[in-house]
Amino acid sequence: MAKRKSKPRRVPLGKAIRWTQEEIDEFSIVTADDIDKMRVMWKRYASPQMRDIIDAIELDDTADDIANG
Amino acid sequence: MTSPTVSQIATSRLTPDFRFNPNLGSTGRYIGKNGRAVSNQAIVNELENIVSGVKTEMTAISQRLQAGTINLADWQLQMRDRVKIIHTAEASIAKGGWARMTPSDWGRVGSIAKKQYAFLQNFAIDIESGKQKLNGQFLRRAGMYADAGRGTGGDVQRIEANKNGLTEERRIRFPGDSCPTCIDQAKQGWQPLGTLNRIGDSECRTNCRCVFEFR
Repeated sequence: MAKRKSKPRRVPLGKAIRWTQEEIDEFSIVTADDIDKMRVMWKRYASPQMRDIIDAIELDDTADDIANG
Repeated sequence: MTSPTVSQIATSRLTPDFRFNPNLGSTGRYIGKNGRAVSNQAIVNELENIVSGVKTEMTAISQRLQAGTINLADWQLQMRDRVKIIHTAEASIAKGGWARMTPSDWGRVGSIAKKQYAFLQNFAIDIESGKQKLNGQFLRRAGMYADAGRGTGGDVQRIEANKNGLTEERRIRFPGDSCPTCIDQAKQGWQPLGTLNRIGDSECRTNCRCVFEFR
């Protein structure tokens, strides 16, 4: 059987990005945007009954909130 | 524009269907809406859902690179975003929700992400040079960046166990695991905290599904 010819790339492969140490240091910092992206991802893939577990808060804090109305 | 810092997220916007009791069990337990503790197995299952979901996305991104619809730099950036997400999620769940994460916890996640970014950069350079062909092995290697998140949760749990004054740990094997090191590690039973292998530091590497227990 003839070997299937692969389709030509629509976009050239191009070069890998060479990050500097400073760049890596900078985007390794976890920002509020990162937390939001993580929460979105969690809610996308978690089972329905566990979607909100990522937003859990500590029990003691909750007790105070309830006590304070 | 600088992104807002984590401390700028208001926890008040959270709807606490779940609470986390840090004093329950060895490293705390989640409490559901019904007031019942969520089982550790349920948490492990959810983490597997997330690893699997992120892995599917990483595979799809990698297939786009294979198909020639994105270039290497785009692939690298999209992979980078998901690397951070998986480690952030694993750490947050191990801690009892992202709202409980401290600046030092976030710093730890950043440090793990930093290592992964260096691996990812080498991976991209291997692709560029042709050392890594865009074949099935490429897809498997890409997926390992999602699997690597499993170790992060174990790391955070160990730190929490230490903070809670616990002194021993043991590794519980996932029923399907058959890696000799994991079998040996599980057989050792209770050992001083921090002495057993990190999750992912066995032959099964990022596929390791062992979990820690503490006392």
